[in-house]
Amino acid sequence: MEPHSHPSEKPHPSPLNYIVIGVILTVITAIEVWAFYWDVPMPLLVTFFIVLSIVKFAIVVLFYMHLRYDHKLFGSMFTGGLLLGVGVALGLIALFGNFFVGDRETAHAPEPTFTPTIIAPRETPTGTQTPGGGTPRPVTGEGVFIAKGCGGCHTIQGLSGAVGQVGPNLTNIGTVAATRKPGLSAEQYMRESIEQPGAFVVSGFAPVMPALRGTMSEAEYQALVNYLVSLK
Amino acid sequence: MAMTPHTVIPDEHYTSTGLSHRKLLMWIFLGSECLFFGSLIATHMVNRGKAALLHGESPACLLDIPITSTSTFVLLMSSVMMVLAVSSAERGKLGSMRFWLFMTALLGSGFLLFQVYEFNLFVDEGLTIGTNLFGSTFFTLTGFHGTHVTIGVIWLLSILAISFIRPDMVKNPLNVDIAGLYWHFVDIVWIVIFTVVYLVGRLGVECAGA
Repeated sequence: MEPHSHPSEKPHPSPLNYIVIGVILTVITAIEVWAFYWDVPMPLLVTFFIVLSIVKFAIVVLFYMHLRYDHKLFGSMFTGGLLLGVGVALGLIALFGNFFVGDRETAHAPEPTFTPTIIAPRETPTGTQTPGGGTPRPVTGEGVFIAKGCGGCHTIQGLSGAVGQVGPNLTNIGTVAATRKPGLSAEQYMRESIEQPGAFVVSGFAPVMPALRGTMSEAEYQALVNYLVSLK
Repeated sequence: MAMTPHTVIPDEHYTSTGLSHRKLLMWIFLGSECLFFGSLIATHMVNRGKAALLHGESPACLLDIPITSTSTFVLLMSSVMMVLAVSSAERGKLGSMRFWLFMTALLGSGFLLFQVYEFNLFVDEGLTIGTNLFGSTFFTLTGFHGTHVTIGVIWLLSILAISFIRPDMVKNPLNVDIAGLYWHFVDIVWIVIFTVVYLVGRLGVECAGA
């Protein structure tokens, strides 16, 4: 046999053995890719994939990384970290309650439907009512924006409470709105987007905006549109 | 000065275990890397199903199984080259060690080119690290893996260069062995990513083009 590289190690496999192991690993990968296109029930296929990848993982660690031939201390250091890592991964998955794989629409298990959080309207921000019977404050677009919960999903830099990430950033919406749909001015686009939220959904965002036009008075609505269009 | 088989390898510093501390440290490091990648993979699994749709379908539709299978094969072959380099080093064959090290680095770079192609494609399709939960967790995970491969390629090329400048420095096969451990680890992490993120992640997702 070849000379040992270290007194604690048993002899390592020959180059030919390494190549045979490489062929085995390639065949397993080919079977995985082939199986991907089979018409097999998903849970079965997922189990099959996970088993095969554990086999590949073990082959590389035992033979290519020589753990089978090396001192136990090396193996225990790695296995310790590996078990902790797998534990952390399973813990994270269990904690967030999502063992489910694949697409939301095709899941067999009922998936909680995603609804954006709407911040509860405050009592007075639009200026239409005032506590204590003081002078009604004028209706402002910012006030309507916050009162209707828009800030829960949209960010407007400089407006306190408008920090949401669910919908597009509206910091420069006055400029952007004019370019969204050919033939629509910024104000026309703004009105369409609020009255029919699904008419045009910006790429990368989900069509989840609620229809809130019905919750506003004409004055509030006009103030909101004016405010948004003014954000250049 | 060529290495010859049966060279008595000057052992490293005395250690109470009789084991190389450099090698032990590498194994401890790889153990900690399991925690690192385990967390990133789990984060992707937990969040990918909650991502906002892209062009009306799941962002997982962008995953290209045939292309990624090819890049997986390239990385797997690089592991075979690596183990042959370690084997050559152990048998004191400097020339073949250089050849296999070069092949490993070459295939590793090939894998990185596939990743550059994939990332470009995704960004062109509108999926970036800031687009949604799928993009954030996918690019963080595969980006960190790609960084590991890049570091590995630099490491292997450094050993290759040193073998020409100071051949006596690579006389101890442990230097190639430790780099090999790192390289194989990067390969097994990809084995898990390919299975969990690509194959399992793409299963059962309804896509328009497929």
